[in-house]
Amino acid sequence: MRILVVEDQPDLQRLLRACLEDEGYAVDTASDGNEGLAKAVVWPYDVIILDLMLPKLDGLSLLERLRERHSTPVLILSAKDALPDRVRGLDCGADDYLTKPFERAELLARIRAIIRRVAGHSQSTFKAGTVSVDLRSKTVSVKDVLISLTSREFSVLEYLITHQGRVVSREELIDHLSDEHDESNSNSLEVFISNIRRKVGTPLIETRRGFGYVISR
Amino acid sequence: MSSPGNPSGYWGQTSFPVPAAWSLAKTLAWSHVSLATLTVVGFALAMLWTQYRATIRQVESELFGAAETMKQSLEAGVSPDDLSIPEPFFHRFGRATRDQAYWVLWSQESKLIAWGGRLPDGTSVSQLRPFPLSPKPKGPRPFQSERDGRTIELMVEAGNDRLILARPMAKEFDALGSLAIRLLGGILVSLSLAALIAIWVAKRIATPISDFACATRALTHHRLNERLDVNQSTSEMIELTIAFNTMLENLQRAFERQKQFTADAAHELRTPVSVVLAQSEHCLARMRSDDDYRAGFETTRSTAVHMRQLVQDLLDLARMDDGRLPLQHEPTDLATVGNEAVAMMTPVAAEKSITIELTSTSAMMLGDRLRLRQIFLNLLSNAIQYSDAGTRIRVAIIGEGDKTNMTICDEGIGMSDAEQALVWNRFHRVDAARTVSTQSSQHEQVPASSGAGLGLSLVAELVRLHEGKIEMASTPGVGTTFTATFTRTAIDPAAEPDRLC
Repeated sequence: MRILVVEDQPDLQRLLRACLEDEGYAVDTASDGNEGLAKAVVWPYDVIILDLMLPKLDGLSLLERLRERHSTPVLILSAKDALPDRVRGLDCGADDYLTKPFERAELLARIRAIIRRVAGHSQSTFKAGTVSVDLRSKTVSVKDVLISLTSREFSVLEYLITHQGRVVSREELIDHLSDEHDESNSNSLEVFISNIRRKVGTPLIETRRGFGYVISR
Repeated sequence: MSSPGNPSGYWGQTSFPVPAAWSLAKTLAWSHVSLATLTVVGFALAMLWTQYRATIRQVESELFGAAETMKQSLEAGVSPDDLSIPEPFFHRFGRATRDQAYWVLWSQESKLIAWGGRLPDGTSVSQLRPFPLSPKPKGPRPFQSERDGRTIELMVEAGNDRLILARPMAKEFDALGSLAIRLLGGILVSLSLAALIAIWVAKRIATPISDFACATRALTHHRLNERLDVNQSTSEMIELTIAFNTMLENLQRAFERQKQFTADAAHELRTPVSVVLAQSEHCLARMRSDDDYRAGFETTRSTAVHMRQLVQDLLDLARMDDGRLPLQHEPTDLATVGNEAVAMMTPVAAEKSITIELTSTSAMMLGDRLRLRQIFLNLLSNAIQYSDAGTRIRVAIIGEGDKTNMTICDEGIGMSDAEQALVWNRFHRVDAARTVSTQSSQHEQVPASSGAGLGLSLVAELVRLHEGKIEMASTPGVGTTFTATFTRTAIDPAAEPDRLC
């Protein structure tokens, strides 16, 4: 999962990035509205975390312009906590609104909720055959036996299972799993996939030659 | 009369004792009615009295006419025994028994000579006495007269004898009585009318006032946006309502300013609190390296320092609003203060490769050294914030006559006219400033403003407290110049003792 953080306060931007990367998300950052909009329209983010008071282009204008073409989920993270601000933010097309100061646990839970909603799932546990993936505890179990995946491996599985039944191309997977500074070569994706297959043991991820990967329903 | 029965109930719960008093409507109505009563009754009494006097004069003049005629008869040689009240007068007095007159003629020695006419019931002629003689009356009433109850007696001298002519004023008193009754009726009718009018007028005057009080009571600080209806019945009420509405408007504005200030202050604190919270949660989420912990503490510390400055600025502004900011008033050389400030800011400027040039002549004035330095620091940190690398900031402090001028001129981004209009507002930040972070950590000892958009507000207030004037000129892309002018003897310590530490 790839997240864009649009935040002008450098400390907070750094901390948001650190917090999200700890959770295994690929994180891009932008320090002003224009940069944020430019990145948001170019990359297929899974969630955008948006501050409202930004230099150059304020958050709401950014959101309005983003919504002209894109439906990327947006979580507004703002110091503006008045009711009219929250209502306006949500009406402008935000999927969620969290006020500063925020709790790390709540921010992460809200991001997971957005990802779940986009996947059309109401629980944080996704199941495919005997395999179940818990997005909350970041664990995978096969026939109720926990198996251990690395953070990147989990991210690949997480993306595929939240798009269960749909063929996901290699490019799409790479776009959603690495941030803008990630220079790991694309061959590593095959390595992750084969590691997952080996650890899970049951046929879970199918390869569609020329199209990509899919976890069937 | 519309009077609120129980005053304390009328006011509901009050924190002060409500004295018992008459309502305005009651007072007005009663005063109107009593004034009307006084006027009408006084007028009626005067009328009755005048009528009574006129009646007496009339009766006297008739009796005098009769007496004169009888006197002439006596002088013409008519015997007293043949004397009688002349016919025309008898008719004029009235033919009714109770109106009829009598006459008595006495000699000089008070010896009864003759009498005639009809004596009052129960009176015999022997009971009658002539008046004691007094100096002969002259003028329009050449007679002596006395009144005994309704009977009027009139005495004239006929030669050496004295003739008394008297009659009861029965029909005249009847007329006076009926006049009195008619006047009483008139009084009652006009007083009833007056009372009705008084109540109507009193209500018209008092109701708007009690309505006004009602509307005022209903107003709370949550409903300051409401206004009272100015369509009132009297010009004074219109004036009062307008004055009250103006007061409400001022209150509302002050309240909203206060609310805005509090909201802005809270808002400004949210971001640093978010940083501290996020940083500590980040460190606590799992084991980190020592370097991570050190960096975390560093962020927390610098954010706390930033918050401390913000809180200090907010406190200063709040104190200035209350007029409670303690200011020293000591002879200070503005040039020295400027030198200190420039020395403090030079390393900060050097980080952005900005040079600060200082020109100064000794400029003594009365003022608070630390606060004057704060003016310099805030303006300088502002100038550094909005200047590009490699530019210059020129500071000039010139004492001229009784004036002291300080100028801080940068070659920064400048401001449009629209920006200039907002720049003194609290919490206003030039948009581009948002990318600039708080002061870098090694310069935290510089007590310049917190970067929350309070710096220039503080400067403006501090200059005002030093009874100076500050002006700004700015051109986008060229730079901004701030000029503050102080008067050398601006602050008289004796004049503002409450501001002293």
